[in-house]
Amino acid sequence: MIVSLAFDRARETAYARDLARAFGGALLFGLPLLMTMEMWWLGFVLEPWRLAVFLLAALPLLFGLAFYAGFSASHRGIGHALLDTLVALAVGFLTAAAALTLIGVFEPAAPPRQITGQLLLQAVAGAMGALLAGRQLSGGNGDEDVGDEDEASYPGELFLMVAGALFLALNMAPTEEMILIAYRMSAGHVVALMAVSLILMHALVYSVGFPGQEAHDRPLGAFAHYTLPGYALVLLVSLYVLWVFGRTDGHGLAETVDAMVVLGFPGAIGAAAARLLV
Amino acid sequence: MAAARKKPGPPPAPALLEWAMGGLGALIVLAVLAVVLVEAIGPRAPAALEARLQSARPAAGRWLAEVEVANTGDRTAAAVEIEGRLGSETATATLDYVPAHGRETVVLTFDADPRGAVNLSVPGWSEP
Repeated sequence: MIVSLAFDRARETAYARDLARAFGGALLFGLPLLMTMEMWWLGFVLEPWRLAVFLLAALPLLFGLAFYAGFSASHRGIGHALLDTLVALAVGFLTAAAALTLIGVFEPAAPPRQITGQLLLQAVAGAMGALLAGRQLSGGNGDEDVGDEDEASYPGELFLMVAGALFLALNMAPTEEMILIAYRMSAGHVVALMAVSLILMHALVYSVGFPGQEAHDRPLGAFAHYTLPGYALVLLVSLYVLWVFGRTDGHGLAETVDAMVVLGFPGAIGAAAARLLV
Repeated sequence: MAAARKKPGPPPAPALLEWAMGGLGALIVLAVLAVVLVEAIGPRAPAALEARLQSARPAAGRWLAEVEVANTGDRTAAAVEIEGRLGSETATATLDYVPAHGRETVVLTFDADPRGAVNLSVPGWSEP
């Protein structure tokens, strides 16, 4: 990465445009969570160390997204990805602060720890949105294709699936409904939902396509290579998100697995569609 | 697409604005982590709730008592019940949450002026 501290008007305005797009992405992808009351409450209900783990675990994920997607055209390489990660976090925090102030979530007398927690939860989702903005809001001009996802290796593909699963799971997990659905479902429902998740995920993976799929032009090969490991990662992502939001506390193994499968359904769709998003 | 490719070649140097935003991001993340980690390492006293009469005013033939509920503990309390006794009269209200070191306000209604005479208590809450 070249470092130049000279003021270049064209470069600054071009970057300001990218930055505006990042704010747009943070808002577009962050609004469902910004307007979810459980997210406001979780900011002060969750133990501080859980929030710390959530933020620290988000850093490598955001870095990976910055590497594969990023919100700025012509941003390539590790140095740019690192800077993009920090910028995305700044965008996430600023967007969350502005939106939560605007919709009156912040209470004037709230202790700093409460506001910090509420901002932290929202900022991670907002930062993901900011990083996806390049692809989603750039108007599909092939020449300005943002990101390096076509160069993704097999671990890179699995990483993109994790990011896609996390993105959708994060949007659903804070709500009470995930746990309620798990309570209501019988064992038969759970098995059926797992089967449908796998089939839909495979259909999406297979139709959207991954590089290197030529080697797996038999559906069964792609199933073993992408769909099965992908679904396993989706279930782990679900468990992680449920744990972060305190939804596994006081739950037995069976209830936790049920909730994992329930959250794994949107997670599987997110993972399979990651290639469309990123 | 006839449009010329705008940014060919190797990645250009980051804009000054980019350095500024990146620095801001690093600053915010470190500050947030500091707040959260200090909180995580420090002592975690259980929720401790106090109810205090803030003001009272007559309205529609009854008295409205504005009661402030403060949590001086390090843990958040959920489903907090607030009870006020004035003579033989008992008024109750429930708060969804009172965050750690936070304050919330409820209104209790009474037949008579509660100032000086009301007995406020927080009988119970749940730990989220």
